[in-house]
Amino acid sequence: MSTTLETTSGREATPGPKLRHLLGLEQLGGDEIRGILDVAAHMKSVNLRRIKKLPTLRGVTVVLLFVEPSTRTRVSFEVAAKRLSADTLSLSASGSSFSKGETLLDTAKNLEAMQPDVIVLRHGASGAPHLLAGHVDAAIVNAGDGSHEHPTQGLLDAFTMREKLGDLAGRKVAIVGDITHSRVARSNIFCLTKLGADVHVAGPRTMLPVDVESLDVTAHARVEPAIEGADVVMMLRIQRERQEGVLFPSAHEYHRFFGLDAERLALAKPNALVMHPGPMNRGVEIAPDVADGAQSVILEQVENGVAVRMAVLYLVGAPHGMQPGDAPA
Amino acid sequence: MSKTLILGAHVYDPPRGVIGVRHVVIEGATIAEVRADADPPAVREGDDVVDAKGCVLSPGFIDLRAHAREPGDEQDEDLNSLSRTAVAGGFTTVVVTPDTSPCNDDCAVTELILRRSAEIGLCRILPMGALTHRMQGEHLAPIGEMADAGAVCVGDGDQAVRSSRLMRSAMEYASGFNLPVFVHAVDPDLAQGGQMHEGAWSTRLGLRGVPAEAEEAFIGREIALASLTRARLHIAHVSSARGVALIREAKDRGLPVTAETTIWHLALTDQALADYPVNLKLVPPIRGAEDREALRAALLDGTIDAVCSDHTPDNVADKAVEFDAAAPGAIALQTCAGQLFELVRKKLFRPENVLGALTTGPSVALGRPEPRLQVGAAADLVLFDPEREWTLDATTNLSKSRNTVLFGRPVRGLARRTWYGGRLVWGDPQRKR
Repeated sequence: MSTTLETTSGREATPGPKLRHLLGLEQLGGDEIRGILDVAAHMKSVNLRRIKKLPTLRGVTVVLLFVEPSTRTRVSFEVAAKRLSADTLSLSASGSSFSKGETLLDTAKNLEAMQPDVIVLRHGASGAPHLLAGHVDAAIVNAGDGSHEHPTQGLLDAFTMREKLGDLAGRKVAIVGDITHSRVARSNIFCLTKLGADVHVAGPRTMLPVDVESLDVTAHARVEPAIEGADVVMMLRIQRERQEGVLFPSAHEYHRFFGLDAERLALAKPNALVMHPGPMNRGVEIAPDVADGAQSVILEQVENGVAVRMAVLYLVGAPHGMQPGDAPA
Repeated sequence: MSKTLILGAHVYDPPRGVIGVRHVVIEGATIAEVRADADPPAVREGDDVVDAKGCVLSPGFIDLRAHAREPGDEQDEDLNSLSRTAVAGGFTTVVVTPDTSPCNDDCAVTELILRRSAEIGLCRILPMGALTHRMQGEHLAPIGEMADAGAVCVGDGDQAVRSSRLMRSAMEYASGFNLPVFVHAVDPDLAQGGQMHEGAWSTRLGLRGVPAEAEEAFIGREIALASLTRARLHIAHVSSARGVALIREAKDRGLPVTAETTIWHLALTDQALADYPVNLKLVPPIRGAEDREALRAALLDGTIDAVCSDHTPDNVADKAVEFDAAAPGAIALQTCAGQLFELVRKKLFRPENVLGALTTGPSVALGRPEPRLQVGAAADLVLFDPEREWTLDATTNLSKSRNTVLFGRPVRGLARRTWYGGRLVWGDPQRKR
């Protein structure tokens, strides 16, 4: 079964770790994460070709079950699945039985009757993918659960950093914003600490969860010490509609004390990367000139998202022993 | 008249402790004899003879907190299944919370519960009346009429009373009818939306936390109001180290305060929630290691009087959902004593500590006489085998619900037999010559 992989370098690529599910990055080891990122590097080379398609997941059905609305992540997964030749089926909260009061498990059980191989789940409740994983046979890929994890975002962020900086061991990464409610922050923290990075989180005290240091990060109530000397500055989206007036007084004040502008960015290393998982509130957590500036890799994050999701779908969805680039028997 | 002869049990008489191996004879509704090990009773034709070697014989256990679900949600539990579950767990007395549908905020509901329980006749069901109308915390429920009908305490189930002024008058009014006030002490604003204990694990799991301080704040308030009103106050299911410290201080001041915790809070920490097990989503939440240590110390030094099951039956449909959406609570009546003896096996407690928390402690909280195991006492008894292994599954579970993490798992510690008023209400009779 195992054939030599097509790689741009001509070297044999690692087949990567076989994954049953991808529920989060907390359970993975550093080597497994590096293995996924290596597969993603191979996938990225595919995306640069004129024919951007591999036969690897031909005959594999991938269900995109998006109970919480999301455009970017869903589209990214859909492109990833299609580039691997999988059949995709997309369900969202509106226009599905959820709006008729059907439970998550009922919906999943009904989907299961169609023998999907992979279910990609986005859900507003932390732990929802764990619930599904306990009740269905399909591989579950967490596409964001409540305030818990967004593992493919964590992987694509690490991928982007690794591409620009090489090994992340000892690199200082500042994550700034609403750490408490951010699944992006958690997945990044779990991922980056395992890769040896020095992770600092910063934001108003109302947005720093209790005992956040127990996740092996350094926490700051002001952003300057986090950004100072950083190799990467990652800004998180502020949910103005829900939080203004309770967790911070106003968007204006937030920008003044916690936003990333050119002056604050100057505290970081000269070529520090500026990242944001999107969608951005320009002028709130990030100044427009910084978002569009030379140090910003925000659009590359989006591009890398497809490669990382291809890698993940391949690792959970490919028949055992198959390698990226293989065609199914 | 035939008798029941219980031979060779380790006999527990609450004020004296485990007094040693004895033979106990039940005649009619009372204990007729307690004989020395060397002096067994004569066996007559027709006597029920029980070989009780290795088992503990105790006054029937008393549970301060079970959710009966009747009236209104009989698909989850009813007073019949609750009674059967209770006696299978060794309980002969169970206080049921008022959070039924309709809720027990009216003497008609109190009477219904008592009449149904008497018809079933397996154990003593004691109703907790609601403190406020519809348990909404806005005005007082008819506490006097419910007391007249047979309510033994008042409290708003798992609802905190937000208004301090209303709580003051509830305490004053209830104390006039000699009823203790059972409080679920948590600041409802601080706890709003909370899914688990706020700490490193809630941070890790991305679940909204309920800080221990939400409990501390309201236990402090309730104790202040008890001091003001001199009402008898019972703190239900205390979960935190600071909550325990406040109760200890109140007791030291001589205030009439009692407290209970649950078996889950004594046994587990919030780390147990790592895989989002919905059946460990509890109110109050299972807290951190320091809190658990404080609860254990408080049971040892008497700050915590009782351990309750907080038996909360819920339909599978309410549980096969996301953690955020799951109804909190777990069933525990049938496993509670075994779970407690597990902590004895781990040398955290002596048998007297856990037996006291199931007998004397709850009776103190209710203002009832301490149960005795002596000649002339009522034969409400449980013969408990702490070492017996069994599995809680569809064949053994007597509750209508199965929402517990122990379902399908082996459990150690089984009530072999339970007697209520001298009648065998649980366990197979083995009549021998």
